[in-house]
Amino acid sequence: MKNPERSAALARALAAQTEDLPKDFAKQVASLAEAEDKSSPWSWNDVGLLGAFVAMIGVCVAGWFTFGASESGTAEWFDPVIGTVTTQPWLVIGVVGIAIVQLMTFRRRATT
Amino acid sequence: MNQELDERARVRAVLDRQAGAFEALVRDYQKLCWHIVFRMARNPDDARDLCQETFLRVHRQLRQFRFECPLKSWIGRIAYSIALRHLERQRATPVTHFDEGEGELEALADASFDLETESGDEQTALRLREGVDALPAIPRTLVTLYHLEELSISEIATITGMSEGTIKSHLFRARLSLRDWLHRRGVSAP
Repeated sequence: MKNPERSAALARALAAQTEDLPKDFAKQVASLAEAEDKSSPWSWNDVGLLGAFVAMIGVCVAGWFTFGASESGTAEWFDPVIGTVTTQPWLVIGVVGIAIVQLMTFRRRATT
Repeated sequence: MNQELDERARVRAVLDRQAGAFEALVRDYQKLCWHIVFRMARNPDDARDLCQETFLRVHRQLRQFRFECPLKSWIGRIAYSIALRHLERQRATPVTHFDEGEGELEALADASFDLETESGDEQTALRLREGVDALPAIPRTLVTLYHLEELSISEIATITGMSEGTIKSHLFRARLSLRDWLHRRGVSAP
């Protein structure tokens, strides 16, 4: 299919539109963007989400130590996990970091 | 190549927060943004808000721009997606393609209508403008990008995410609709 011919008449008709952006639109947007830069990159929404995530992990851990460990009698399978956590803190930080990044990415996709 | 170097320098200036760099960028692309958003949204107040939203998003995401397409197309794509989202929120889901045979459409639009002759006088130009306003949102925007902004079909495809064939179909069909519009209002074809 070949390209349609351009029409100067259509261009003229479209260009004659009276509505436009305000004269100082660029200045306004630039100051808004600057204000956005100066504000904290963390919104309350982000802080709330992170807090909820940490609280959820905390509840799981506390729940395990309160109920899970005693009911299972022996926690021999859990010991290596605890051992890893205490001896490999960077691994734990990495896993938690990935989880947070995933959460934030999901949130960004959901809001844009 | 030069264009890409210029764009790199200009993006770098904005990212380095050089005074006036972002304002200059907005000034250069605000017309394109307005043409996209206003043709989609129609309401001038909504369109102004959407343009502002577009450039704030450009500012936030400029670090992610990888120069895979011209900056103009990238900004246009953001404007288009924001306007499209706005339309969808209003439940005015736009039609994105036509079902008719493309070849047939092309022949009809080209053989029987000369817009340049038709719109010679002021009154007809006004009718033509009304005709464009009466088109659905997507064709109206495509007509503006092609005839007013003089973007190439491939640039429009980058902005809208549509295939080139679909864009051409929209443009041919829009031309036919405009012909009908003028004829119904007593402007006869030569």
